[in-house]
Amino acid sequence: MSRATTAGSLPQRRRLLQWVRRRYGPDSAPLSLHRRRLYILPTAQGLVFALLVFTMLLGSMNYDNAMGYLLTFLLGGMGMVTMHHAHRNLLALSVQPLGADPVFAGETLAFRFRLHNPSRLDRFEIVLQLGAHRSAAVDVPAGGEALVSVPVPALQRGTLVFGTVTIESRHPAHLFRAWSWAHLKVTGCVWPAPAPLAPPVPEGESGLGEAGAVGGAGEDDFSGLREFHRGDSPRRIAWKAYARDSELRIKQFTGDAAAPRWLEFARTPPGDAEQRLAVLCRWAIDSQRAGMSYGLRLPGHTLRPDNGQAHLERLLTLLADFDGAHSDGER
Amino acid sequence: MANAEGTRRLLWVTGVLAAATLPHLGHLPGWVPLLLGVCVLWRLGVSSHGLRVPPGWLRILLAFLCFLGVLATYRTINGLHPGSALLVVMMALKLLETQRSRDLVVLLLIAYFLIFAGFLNNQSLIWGGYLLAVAWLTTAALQQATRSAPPLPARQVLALSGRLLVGAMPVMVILFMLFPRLPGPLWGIGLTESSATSGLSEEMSPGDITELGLSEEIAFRARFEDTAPHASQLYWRALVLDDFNGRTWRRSRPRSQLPLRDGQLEAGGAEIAYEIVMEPHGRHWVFALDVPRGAVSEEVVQGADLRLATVRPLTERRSLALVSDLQARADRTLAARDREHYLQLPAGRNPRTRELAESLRADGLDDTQLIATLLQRFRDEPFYYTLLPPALGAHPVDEFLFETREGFCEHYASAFAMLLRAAGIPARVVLGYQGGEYNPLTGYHLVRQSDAHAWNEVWLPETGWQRVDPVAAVAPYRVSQGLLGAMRAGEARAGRGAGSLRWRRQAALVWDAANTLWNTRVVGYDDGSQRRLLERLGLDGDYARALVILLALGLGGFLVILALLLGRGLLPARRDPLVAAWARLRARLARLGLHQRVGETPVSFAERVGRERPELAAEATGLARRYQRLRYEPGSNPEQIRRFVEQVRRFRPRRWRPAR
Repeated sequence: MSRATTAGSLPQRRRLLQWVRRRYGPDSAPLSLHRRRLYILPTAQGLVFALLVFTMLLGSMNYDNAMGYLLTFLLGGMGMVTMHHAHRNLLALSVQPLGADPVFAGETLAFRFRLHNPSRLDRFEIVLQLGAHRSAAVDVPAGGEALVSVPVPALQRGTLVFGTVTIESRHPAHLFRAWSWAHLKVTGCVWPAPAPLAPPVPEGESGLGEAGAVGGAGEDDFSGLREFHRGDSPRRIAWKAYARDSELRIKQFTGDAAAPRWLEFARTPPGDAEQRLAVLCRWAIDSQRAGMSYGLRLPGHTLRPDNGQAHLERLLTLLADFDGAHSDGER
Repeated sequence: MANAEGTRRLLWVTGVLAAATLPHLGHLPGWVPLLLGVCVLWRLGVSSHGLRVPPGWLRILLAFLCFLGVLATYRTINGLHPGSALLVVMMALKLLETQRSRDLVVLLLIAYFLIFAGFLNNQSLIWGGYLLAVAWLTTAALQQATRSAPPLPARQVLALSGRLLVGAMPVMVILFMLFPRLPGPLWGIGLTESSATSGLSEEMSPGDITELGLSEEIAFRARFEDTAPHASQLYWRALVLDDFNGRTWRRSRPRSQLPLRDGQLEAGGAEIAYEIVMEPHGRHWVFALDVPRGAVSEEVVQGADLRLATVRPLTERRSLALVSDLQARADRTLAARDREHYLQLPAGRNPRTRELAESLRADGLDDTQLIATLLQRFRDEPFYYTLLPPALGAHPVDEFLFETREGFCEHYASAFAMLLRAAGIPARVVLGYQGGEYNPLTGYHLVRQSDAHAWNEVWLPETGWQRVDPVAAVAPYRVSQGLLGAMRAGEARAGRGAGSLRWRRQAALVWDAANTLWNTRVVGYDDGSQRRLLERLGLDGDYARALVILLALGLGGFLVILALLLGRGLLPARRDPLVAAWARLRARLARLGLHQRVGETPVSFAERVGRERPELAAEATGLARRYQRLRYEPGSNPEQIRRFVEQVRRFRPRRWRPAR
């Protein structure tokens, strides 16, 4: 089970969204906004504007003022035309979700979308909305594209899922709000935030399952030098080499490759599952920095030891999707 | 930088506020625009130079003081001018505390309302144009203020809002013509009299009309149904003055209120029908050629002194259809009481004038000869017609006739009436307008305040009241060519050319034509015009229903056309005709259930079509081959493409296989 967030909190709003969803079913990307799925309503400003025009109408009638009538009707007509312009501003626009780069919990996910305007008209002030989170307004030139990103704060690790993207525009003059709901599923992965303080990675293996070298291995046979990375143990710095050309290097031993480091949920300090995942995250990052080969053992999941950015991300994603309830049950 | 953006938005909004306030400057006390100016500069300073916003208590205090200020200036806050002053003050103070776009929107809505209030003050064509431009600017500023992205370049935002307003024009026209007009006000706030200019006054002293001499303001317009009488016949009567105190002529109160008696007027057979469009003057006068015939409606009455008057004061532009008889005779018999009244003179004033008249009488001249002699005297002796007459003392008529001999029409009319009365001939002074400028573009005679004139009516036993204009003797140009003609003659005498005046006159005529059209067709459009419009469309009877139906049709039609017009811009950029033709072919095959699959080339698709529908095989494969060649091989020419398009057009596969 992944932590899913759906747009809308009020029950009426959720019911409305469900009705709209039933009306169209899920959409496939890229989605072109058809006129039947565009909605338009006056904004609060639009209502105030209407009140102003009505007041002017009363004034014109009372003073029987022809110019007053002209202005009243001109502004009234402008309101009508504005409605059409607002509607047209979204029509036939196409939306394609581009996904979001994973972030650590506490950072901000940026859900990116590509807006394509296939028509000969410039589009103005398009805002995309996921739940309560809004993007900045962008203009899409005629025949052009624009990239929009909706910032969503990632509060907890897990997968953030939105089933509905709202595309809206209040252009021109913000008298009307035209919008459309696109039922495009967008997900963002939130890794656990690395624990600020973590015990050193226990060396060796807990002895569960896989066979491998036990204890102290990896420090026997010198195989070469590599560059220093932050987090490397000072005990392994090649001080002689440093004295020679003042470059920090790390002594590598044949044992390193043969003896991968296992990051095990079971060997994290006892406590809350989230804290333990945070520690695992810290270990993984440090191991990656140290250039070591490391693997992951979670209840129910195992990731073979490896090194590299892709490996790290795969591991962090496993942590993000880890089902805490399952591990609690096991204990 | 966000702050620079904020300043740009503010500049738009403050510019609009200033432009919307401009038409009200004439009615606002000086401190109000000053306050607005200070607030604008302060707020701009806050945005661009980091000035501090005045604290809340100061703003509240300011608001309170301003309210008191408006109250002190106008003694009320009710009414148009105090209302607009309050609006401007509110706007200025609100400006100080604007932060979000919503505050700016409030300001711009106030600006719209100020434009509206501007129309209540003045509905002239030129202000109409100006305020329309301000409405355009306000709409542009509204877009800038509400825009959630950085402000657009000025040209783009002006084009956008121009498009909105142009789109709104048809709605405006439809609603303007068809929105049901009410015959009266909804509640009792009429226009104040101060907004009407009267021009003439109810009495005449030397120098009164002179003041009007240079005013180019329009008093009224007139249009004759047939040919217009000669300019020298165009004496538009407004008021009759019969009470003289030695300096000032007035209307004697009870007598001027008497209605016209039966048989007082005798037809002369020179009837002429015309329409006059009067500017609001706040009085009861109706300008009619002498002699107007009978009351025209329950709204207009005719008095015993032959003048026409409206029942209610004229507070808005009004048009009347009138009939006058240029040769009608009035009061063939004059009752002894009336005769005595028209001979009255104050004792002890202007003794030399009285002497002159009595000496002429003593020469044994009859009435007609006496009048001719007096006019001859005006012509022969060095009398001057001038807009700058010298001031007169205790015996103004004496001084004018025997010393200064320079005067405007009121001097001549006053002296002449006094001379006649002293000689025992009943006489009175008539105030009104003389002449009028014909505008061939509209067919209207345009009568300005500078055409204001005073002349005399003399009672003679054979003819009754008869018009005599002493100015015609002194400055005949005045009567045949108007004041300008008289002045031009004077200028020519002074050696100055009148040519520069000609094109200005011409331009003035065109401008007047535009104004007339505006005033009669737009400003003067009312429930009557609406009814006439419906009648012309053949819809009489239930006007309200006809209006509603027409409105619905008009607006509905507009919306459809608007949707079509706006939708045009949504078409994708023009497609390659070759691709479009292929798409058409695919659509035709799709209707038969044959869809081109993803990854299937045109030729392999056509071959599959051929397998399923053998009778189409040759044609489909041929077309597909040609398409592939034209599309992907270099060197295809437009002629080949055209032929391919033509072939596709003729490719119409039938839905069902032909029966064998």
